[in-house]
Amino acid sequence: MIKLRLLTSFFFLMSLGLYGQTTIFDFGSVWKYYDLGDEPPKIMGNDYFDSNYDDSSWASGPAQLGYGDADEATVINDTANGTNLITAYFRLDFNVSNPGASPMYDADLIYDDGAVVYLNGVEIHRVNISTPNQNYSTFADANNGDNVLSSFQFAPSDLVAGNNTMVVEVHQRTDDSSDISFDMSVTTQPAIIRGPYIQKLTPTSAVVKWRTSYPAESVVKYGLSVNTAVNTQSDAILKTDHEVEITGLNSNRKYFYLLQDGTSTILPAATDLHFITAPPHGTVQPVTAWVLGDPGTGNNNARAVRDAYYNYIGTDHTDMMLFLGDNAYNDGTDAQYQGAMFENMYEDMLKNTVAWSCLGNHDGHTADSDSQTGNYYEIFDFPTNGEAGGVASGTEAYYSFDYANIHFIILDSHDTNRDVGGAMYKWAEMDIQNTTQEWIVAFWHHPVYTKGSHNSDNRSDSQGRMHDMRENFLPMLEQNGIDLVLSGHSHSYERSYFVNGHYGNSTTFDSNVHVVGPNGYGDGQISGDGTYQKDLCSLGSAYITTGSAGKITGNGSLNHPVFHYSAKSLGSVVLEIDGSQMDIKFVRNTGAIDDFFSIQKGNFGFPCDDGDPCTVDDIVDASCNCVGTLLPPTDTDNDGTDDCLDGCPNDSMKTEPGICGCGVSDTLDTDSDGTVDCIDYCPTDPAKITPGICGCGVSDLADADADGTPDCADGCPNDPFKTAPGICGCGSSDVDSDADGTADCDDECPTDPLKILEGICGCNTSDIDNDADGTPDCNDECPNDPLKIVAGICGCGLSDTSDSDSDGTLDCFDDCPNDPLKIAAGICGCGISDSADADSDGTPDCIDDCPNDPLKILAGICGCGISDTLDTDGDSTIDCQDGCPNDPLKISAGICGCGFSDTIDSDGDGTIDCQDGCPNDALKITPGLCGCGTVDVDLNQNDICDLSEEPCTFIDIENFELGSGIWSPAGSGNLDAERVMSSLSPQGMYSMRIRDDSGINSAVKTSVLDLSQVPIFTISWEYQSSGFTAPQSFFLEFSNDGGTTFTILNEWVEGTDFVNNVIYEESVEVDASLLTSTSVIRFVSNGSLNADEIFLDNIVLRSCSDPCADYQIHTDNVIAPITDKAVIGIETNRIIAAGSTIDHHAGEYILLTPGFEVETQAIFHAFIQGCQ
Amino acid sequence: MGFEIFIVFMLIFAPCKSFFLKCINCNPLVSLYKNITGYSPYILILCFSIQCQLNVLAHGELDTRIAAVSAEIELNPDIDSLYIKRGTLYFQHEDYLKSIRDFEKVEELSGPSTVVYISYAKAWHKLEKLDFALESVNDAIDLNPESATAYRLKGKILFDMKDFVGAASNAEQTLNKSKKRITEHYTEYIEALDSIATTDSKKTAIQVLQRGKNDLGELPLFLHKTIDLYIELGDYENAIKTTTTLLNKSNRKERILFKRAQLYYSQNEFNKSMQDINSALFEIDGLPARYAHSNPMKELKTELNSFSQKLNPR
Repeated sequence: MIKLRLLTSFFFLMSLGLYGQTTIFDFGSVWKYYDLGDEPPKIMGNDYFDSNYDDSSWASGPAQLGYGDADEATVINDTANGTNLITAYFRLDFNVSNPGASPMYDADLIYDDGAVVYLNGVEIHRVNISTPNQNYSTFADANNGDNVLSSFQFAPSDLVAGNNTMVVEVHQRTDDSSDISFDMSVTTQPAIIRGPYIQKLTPTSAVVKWRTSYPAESVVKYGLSVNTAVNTQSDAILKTDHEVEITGLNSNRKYFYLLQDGTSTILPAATDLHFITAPPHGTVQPVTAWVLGDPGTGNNNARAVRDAYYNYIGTDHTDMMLFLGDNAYNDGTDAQYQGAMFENMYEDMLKNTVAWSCLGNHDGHTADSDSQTGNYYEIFDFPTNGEAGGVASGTEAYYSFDYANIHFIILDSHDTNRDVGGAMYKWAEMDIQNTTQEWIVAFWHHPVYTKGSHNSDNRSDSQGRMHDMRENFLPMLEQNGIDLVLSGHSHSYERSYFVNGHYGNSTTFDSNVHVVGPNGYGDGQISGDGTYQKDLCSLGSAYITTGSAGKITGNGSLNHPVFHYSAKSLGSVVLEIDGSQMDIKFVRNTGAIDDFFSIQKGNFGFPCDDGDPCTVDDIVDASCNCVGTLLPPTDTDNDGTDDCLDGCPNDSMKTEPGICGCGVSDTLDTDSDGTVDCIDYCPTDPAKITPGICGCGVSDLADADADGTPDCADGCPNDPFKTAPGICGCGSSDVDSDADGTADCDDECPTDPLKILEGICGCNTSDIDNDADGTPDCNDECPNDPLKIVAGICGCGLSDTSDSDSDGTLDCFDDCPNDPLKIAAGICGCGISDSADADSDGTPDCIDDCPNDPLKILAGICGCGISDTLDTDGDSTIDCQDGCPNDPLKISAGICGCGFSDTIDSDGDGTIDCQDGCPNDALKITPGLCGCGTVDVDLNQNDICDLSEEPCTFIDIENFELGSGIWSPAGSGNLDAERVMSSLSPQGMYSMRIRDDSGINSAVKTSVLDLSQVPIFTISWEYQSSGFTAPQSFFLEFSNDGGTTFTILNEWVEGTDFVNNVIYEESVEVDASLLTSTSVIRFVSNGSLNADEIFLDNIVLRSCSDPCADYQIHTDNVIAPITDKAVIGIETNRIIAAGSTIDHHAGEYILLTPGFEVETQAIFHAFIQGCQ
Repeated sequence: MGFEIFIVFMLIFAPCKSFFLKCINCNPLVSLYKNITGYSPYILILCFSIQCQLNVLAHGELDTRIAAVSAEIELNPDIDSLYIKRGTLYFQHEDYLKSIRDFEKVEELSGPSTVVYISYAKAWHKLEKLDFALESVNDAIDLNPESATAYRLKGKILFDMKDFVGAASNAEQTLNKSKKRITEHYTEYIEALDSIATTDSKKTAIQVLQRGKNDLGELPLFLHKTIDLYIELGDYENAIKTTTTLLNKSNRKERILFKRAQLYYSQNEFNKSMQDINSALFEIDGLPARYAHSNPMKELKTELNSFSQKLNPR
């Protein structure tokens, strides 16, 4: 029987192990034991039960320990000191790293017959030993049989983190007892370190989540009373984050629950450990929701807000908690959620009230809606398949649920596409158009209106999320009947009027347009301006931005005109819906309710106009038709038409005002002119209906002279040209033909503007005397000659008597009046002889252009004295025009001068021979250092051609104009290394470009080169960079194993070695020891972007033999390591700079001349060993 | 005592961030406080600085947060995670080039990684440098061929490059690699297939939607799209069948009935079409007044009546 019980216990314990309990130490552990027939002696002042007792001299062995039952793993002494053993002592050291991880520790002790248990020197249990201060000789109280199990618990506080010591002493009942038995195990229960909390509540299901201190099984037992948790939902997989969905529940019922790990209860049932399933959709009953915007500070502010609500709600049930995002600052980490939500925060409510949430931007720091991963998505559990009501969204980022008669829509304004036509938009549209609930409430994090710590007018604030939600989602939601929108993000409280259709910035808000409902622009309070009312046929919604459940920040103006109330106050919002009324309150952290309002729904009969004049008090009826109350029939003027339809209710003659208005006849026409008197201004003049120009009774049409002016207004009624007498009187024109200011009727010379009287000369002729000779011009034959009034022999102005040259011919007849030799000009003109001819060529000098050239009288092409026809070189260009008169091939000196061609370019290098210092060398136009036919190379920069110093050959010269030669991309051939045509190529059009820093993909290399026989190998090139920024660089690398591994020869750094857009030349000599038959050279870009580019060009690979002249003279100052060699002698006055190592090898002498200096930390070696 | 109050006052009211940064290495104030009170003020400074940091950072303003991380970088210029943090903030701030520079620094400090390459690609994508974006996202995939995020981004880049086949192929990879699939994975795939606009691509799209149904359930969004695809393919029988499925799943049926009525009409099944029109009108009349009289329902009713008139002569 005893064995059976033991076996049962083992199965039980083993099963516990399967259920995830942690075993601290198990049955069968190896114990130290003392069985020497007395009490273990004190050692160093420590008793055997102390934790630091030195038990190193004790024996040890695996349990079960004892004797006499033949079931022991270790048999201890049954006798000692000649007597049977009365008490055996056992010690075990064990390790517990975190005692607090478990709420309680379970110990199972197998003993026979009595035992006392110590933990860390303190007694924690005794069984069947009632004698206090027992010793070795103390017997057990009774015989308990074999292998009896005693189970007990001890607290975490009994343990220490790290090493612990369990000590057990087992006592016999009598000194002749036949056996002793001992074994023991200690196991633990996991601690609940988060939750439990309720998620995804529906009328028939709920999810319970919690976290344990270490992996455990997930078991929820539940029932309809606190003591009847008879149903079980479980998950056998061991885990720390537990989630159990309980299904098949009845709606609107309170279920109590407890949590277990396997069959061990880790959270017992309690009155506050319950959830109430949601009512069936559409149920009308009071609903309370607690709205927490941006609560995630986890500090006393948040706790004050919480406590204010707890005080407000008292013992009443809260149906749901709505978290508006930013639930855990600053990044929504798991630890931040722990402090901001689960620990010393909302845990008392979370365990019996479902929590819903939307994603806030801070939650989004550690959560990703695309992959549905991160703390937010791990912590919360939302419906994706419409299981809580609404349309399935397929994602937890946005979803909907029904509760009673309310439909909730939750959107992700932070991390999901907010475009119209995006998946979230399409889903939201389908969802809202799929509900029939009485109320529709939506919430998301980023507010559509705010002037708090964020500004919804600022397009760049929150990367346009507020703007997107307002412009994209609001029109659709409003059009489909949204009633309330809740948001956070701005750390204050702002509450709107009852509005519809406001999608622009705050400046565009117009209360006349955007406020709806009869009390829409009031405070919404029953006790104030009246509740907001929403007719069955009308739209309208309230907007609340409430992000102050954890803190208040920002210096926003809090003056958005859409809001009725704005305040920078800590607090949360309470939403209470009962039937057709929604009450909303802002409960501050102080407990004060600073704002409240209500929305009522129903058929309120909003005023309208049905267009019927015989009705009054028009209102919208239940069918959304505008209907008025019919007026009683009245006919004041008794004209047979009801007043409501009579335009002239007091004019029995009329029912419409007509032309003349009520009370005035529309037919009276006194002068019978066809125009009724009420609109005839000459009612007694049949010819007129307006006074016109002449007034009633006088015709406006009489015009005797037909001049267009009625006689009644014409001063000359018979003069068709005048309507007033004017200067000359009626019938006589007032015209002034010559416009001289005197009318023709008073002007003797009416056509002479200069005269109004005839005078001496008559009209149109002036009386003026121009030459003032007393005879008016009109009578003077010479009006400009004061000496004559008649022309005479010589005419006016000329004397009839003057002969200036006294040649007997009057001046007036003498063509040369001052040349006594001539009276006519002749060939040469007056004063010049017609007979002078110096060159006797028959042409008088006065008309001979070449008066001294008997062969020419004109200068011609070549000028006087030079022939116009001479062409010495017979090139058809006369000499005087021929720049090269003796060169039949040229007529001008041109670029090259006479006798030399301007076009011949023998070597075809683009430079003509006469300018080409090397006319037969296509690579050079000057001899340079090395002379024509040889490339100039001067690596040591001593201005002496290297070839003249040392014999060099070119291994390869590549300018990339025609291809890449031995160079190719080092990598897979992407665009980071390629031959390109670019304006940045240092020479010509093409170069090799390397860019970015994609490793070998950003590199170019040669084919494998055999350089094993090359004494000195140099590589020189030109390059230009673009886009590089310091300290980006490029490398020259060398491989001696065919390109498997590379060594960096040098690095060129932007800002230090080069700058962008400048062409550089570089030359590097490769250490001869590196050269092999499988050599590869590589250039590597070390930029960071594609825009970081290096253009390499004119890459020259050379092989030079080792120069070793007989003598060398060095006068340069050197920095780089150099070994100079000469067959006979070296003479030097170098200054060798610090850090340099210079070696000189000479066969006979090394002469140091004045000026030679080796600076501190420089090294100079002289070797008399020639060139070897 | 008065001096203590002064110190506390200073600590409280000094501009939090700058005060904290300056006081780390300070300062005569600390010595003075300790000399007078006998206690180190650091604990006080720490408390206030934590509070200040919390207030500054929790504000959510990107400029402030970037400045805070920049200050941390100044103190610890070789911590890669700080550059990741700031690069991400720059990205959110739409300073894409700065974001790229920070991730370059990350790459410099800790070598290439998928995070770095994806960050490059996202930034280049935003800058509409699609070639660069593609190159970076390819690097990311080379480094981690299992990255669903990289494939999804590559799909979007290729879509913007009008390479719809490539976009569809990467959307497929996104689905294959995603540990948790969401609606958008499917809608983006369908959009790419839709843009290819061939009969085969539409048939594939229907298969993808079927896969979506198996994955996420029979989402109305998927059913609507399936119906549209069947109509485009001229497969009215399946279009009607799918519409019926959608009808059975929907709480409100008026719009779907109208859609099915139109499908019946196109198949010359006028009686069934009329029946659906009447049912739709009946459904609207049965809605709560606030929905029945809403503008969308009024408009739908007008359309239904107009359609009904078209049917009546028959």
